Amino acid sequence: MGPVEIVFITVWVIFGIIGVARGVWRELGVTTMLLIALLVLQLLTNPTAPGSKYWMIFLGFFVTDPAALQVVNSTLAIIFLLLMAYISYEGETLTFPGKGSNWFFSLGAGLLNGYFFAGSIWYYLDKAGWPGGIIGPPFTAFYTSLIKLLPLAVLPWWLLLILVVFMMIMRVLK
Amino acid sequence: MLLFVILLIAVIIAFFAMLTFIRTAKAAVIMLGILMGGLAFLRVLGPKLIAIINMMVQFVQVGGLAALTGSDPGKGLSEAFTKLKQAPAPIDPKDPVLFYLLMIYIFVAIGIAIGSAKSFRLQGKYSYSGLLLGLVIGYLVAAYTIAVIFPESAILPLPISGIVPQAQTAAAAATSGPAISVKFLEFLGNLSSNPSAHFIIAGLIVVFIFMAARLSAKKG
Repeated sequence: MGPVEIVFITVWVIFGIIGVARGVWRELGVTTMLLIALLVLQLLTNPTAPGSKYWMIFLGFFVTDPAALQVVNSTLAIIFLLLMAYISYEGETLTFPGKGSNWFFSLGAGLLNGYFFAGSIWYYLDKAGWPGGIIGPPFTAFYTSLIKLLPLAVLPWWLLLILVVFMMIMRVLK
Repeated sequence: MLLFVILLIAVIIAFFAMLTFIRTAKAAVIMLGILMGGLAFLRVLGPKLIAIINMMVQFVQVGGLAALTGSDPGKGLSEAFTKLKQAPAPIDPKDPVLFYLLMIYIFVAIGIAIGSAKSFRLQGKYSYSGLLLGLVIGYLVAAYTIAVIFPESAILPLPISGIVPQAQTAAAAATSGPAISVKFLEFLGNLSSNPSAHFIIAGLIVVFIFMAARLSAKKG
């Protein structure tokens, strides 16, 4: 177990605690926002997604070196995620209409958001090759196993689209 | 074991992060200052502190003032010193790590107590700078706790060395990769290599959200 995994699990636990503090209804709103953010990112940054070609052409105007292109791509993705997370947690965006609280589901929703948020940042930092030179290979077996299960590694854009639609339906269902 | 240690580290760090998240950054700075000061104190004056505490406890054990000021003061004094030398030391100077850990917890408790003062009460909702400092405090507490209680799994580098010895095996584990539960790794490996992994994870998310939205609504 290396420092990356520890940071990931710590952030994940913090999101779980924040979930308990904020309640399941607000957390589900954040889940929706994060799923939308992940969908946008998958559409643009995943090489197999329809938007990737245009996004790479756009980035190509500013950066030509492939390694630098990957770093810029990942940096922009992380900034976008941070922005979306900030907007989601600061406001009442897409908060689910409901009353009461249930600590179990609040914790679960918080942990799910932590998985989406921290997992995606980890995914992009890994794709960028951990810029800065502080972290580098060899990585642990836990790292190499978990990296394949991060949200953006495991959920294709069309599945994220289904999840976003499902979240919207759950929000309007009474 | 290592998985448990990782979870323990995460919980400790998260606890302190949350604690300082709901207080001012000033309270977190004071807590961090007390902890760092305490660690430096233990590094420099730890053995002397142990010697003083041992002497005081032994002094009380052998009869204290009564032994020194008995009917024959001269005899009483020599007897008292003889007893003092023979009395067992409450803190073993050769293995003081548990005492040092206890002292670290006392420093943390002092920091928390001072940080709870009214003047450090947060005016707004949360303190993000406090959260960052809380992560550092949590790391320090977790690193020393794990180094003492689970020395074979002490994977976190200690910022101030010489207080608590860090086991060689732990350093080796940190560099060569963990001996995390083989079954858990196998499970992760199987799941990640499963061609239906995305359906399994998406399905779990859907089931959870459905239950959270419906069951919480019923309870509310």
